[in-house]
Amino acid sequence: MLFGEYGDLGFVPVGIATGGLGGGETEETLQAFIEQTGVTFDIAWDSSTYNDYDWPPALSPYPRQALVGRDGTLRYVAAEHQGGALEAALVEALAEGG
Amino acid sequence: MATRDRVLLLLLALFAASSGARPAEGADDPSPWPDAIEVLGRYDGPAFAELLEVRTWGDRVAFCSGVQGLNLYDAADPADMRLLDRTGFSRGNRMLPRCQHVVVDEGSHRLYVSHHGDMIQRRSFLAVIDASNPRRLREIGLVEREESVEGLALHGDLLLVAAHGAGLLVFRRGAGGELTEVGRAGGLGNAWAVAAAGDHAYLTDNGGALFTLDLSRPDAPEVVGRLELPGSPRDIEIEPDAGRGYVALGSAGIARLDLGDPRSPRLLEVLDTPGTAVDVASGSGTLFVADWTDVRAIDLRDPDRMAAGAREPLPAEPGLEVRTLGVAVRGSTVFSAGWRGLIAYRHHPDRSAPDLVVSPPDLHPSSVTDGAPVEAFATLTNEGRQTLRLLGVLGAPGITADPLPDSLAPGDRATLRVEIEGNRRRPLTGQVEILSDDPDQPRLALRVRARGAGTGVGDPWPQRTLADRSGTQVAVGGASDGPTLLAYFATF
Repeated sequence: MLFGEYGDLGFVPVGIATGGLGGGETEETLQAFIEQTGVTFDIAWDSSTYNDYDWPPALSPYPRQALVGRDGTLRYVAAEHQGGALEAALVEALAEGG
Repeated sequence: MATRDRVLLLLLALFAASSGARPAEGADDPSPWPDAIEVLGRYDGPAFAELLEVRTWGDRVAFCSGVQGLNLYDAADPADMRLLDRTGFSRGNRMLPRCQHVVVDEGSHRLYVSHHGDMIQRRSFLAVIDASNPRRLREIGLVEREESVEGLALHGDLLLVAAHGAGLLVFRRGAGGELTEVGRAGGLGNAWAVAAAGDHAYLTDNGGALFTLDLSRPDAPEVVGRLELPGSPRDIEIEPDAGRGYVALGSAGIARLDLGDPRSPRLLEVLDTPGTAVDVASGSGTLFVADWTDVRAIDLRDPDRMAAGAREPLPAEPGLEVRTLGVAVRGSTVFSAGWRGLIAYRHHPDRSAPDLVVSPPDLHPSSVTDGAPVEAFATLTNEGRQTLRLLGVLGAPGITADPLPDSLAPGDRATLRVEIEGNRRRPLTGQVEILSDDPDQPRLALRVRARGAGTGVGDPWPQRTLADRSGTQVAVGGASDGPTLLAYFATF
């Protein structure tokens, strides 16, 4: 939804498929997930950067969200999807020009 | 599923475990204000539960759990709820049975369950559970499906299923628990939830639409209307007699629809909610919303506009992000839950009170390991309908906060400045307590976590090169033309 609303302003979401707990997920399960959820943005496989962040404490290991601003600094990290907070951070990052 | 995965999930479950039912909360609140949504009671099972959907059924409540299957409670006394039985399914993961959605046929004492398929149970399925003996839930039918099945609705002897890209599936319900597909309609976007009234089905497309379908021929349901909606439509609640419908729009809030003419559904208004609206249930002139971090009441008594009413935050769990995905209503009693167990609330629409909301709910200031003090800020808002009295602020060792104003009028805001002392050699975790006369949260804890070793807000996130699904290397992060959201996920 945010992609549709802010994509034209330069916002780029990237889904990072980490492979799940223990790395047991496959391209097949990922494809099923994409069909089920209707995801339209790019998805990359990566498990190497997940632990780079100072994530807030949370019970579930997923989802995790990190917003990188135009200047390459981290603007938002979250251990749950909280649409309002994410959108506020995104609007602020977009407003900073560039 | 690998053994290591199971162990990890079980460790998560044990981490969240508690030891049985808890007493009602709020009995010792010092606030003079009567709580508009009061917690009557809660049932925390012996393990992690993860609410996905909740439904009421007479004195009973059906609770779909992400890891404990279908749970049925006796909620005749919401302050003292009892678990009647719990069941998994003949397909899917036996250790962590997942129940995504449930609908109840009160006449036949049957519950219909969907599971949309994931990494743990790759094929989706529909199950039929006999609850004629509520202490012994019994699976009497199950069909695995190639399509991913999501939201459910009953319509006479039909079961309607929203099936993502496959659209609407129509099943005939047999006397013995059989489910026989009799019709379908495709081209409905990302079909998520469905409701039915008269000869029509109302189906939400998570991509941003509502479809209405004529069901007079169940073998050939026909799309007769379409309405574009903002946000990411999820659950739908309809009030056929009033010709109204309500759709949870995710972070866009709630839509109120005119469904008087199913062929021409109209969007009447959208009411934004602070969280992410996922599930809705209506009763007694109120729409209740599972809004991610709280249960929210919306006053429907004015036929021309929805009005934001009271809200009840989910109980805080130390170290955990709260989340609720389901809400159900029985009269003035509301049921919801987060990660743990069922919670019963009573709604008092005649009551008003102050309501303190702190944003963000956690503070993550810059590192304090360099010896210099750091500061962080939070916004305090009174979302209630009475003046909020702020009684003080208490900081953990090493954390101080500036004094607060004495009060906040309804709608007013104040900024709280928090300072973390700078002579620490290690990251600091603590909290600031805000004392007020908010009946829900007389001691609201604002968590403070000063930076550890990882990359945090304000730090550079250098460009990395990741492989996309085709194996092509793509540059991510670093300075770029626009903000980049990195969304880490797993498919289960």
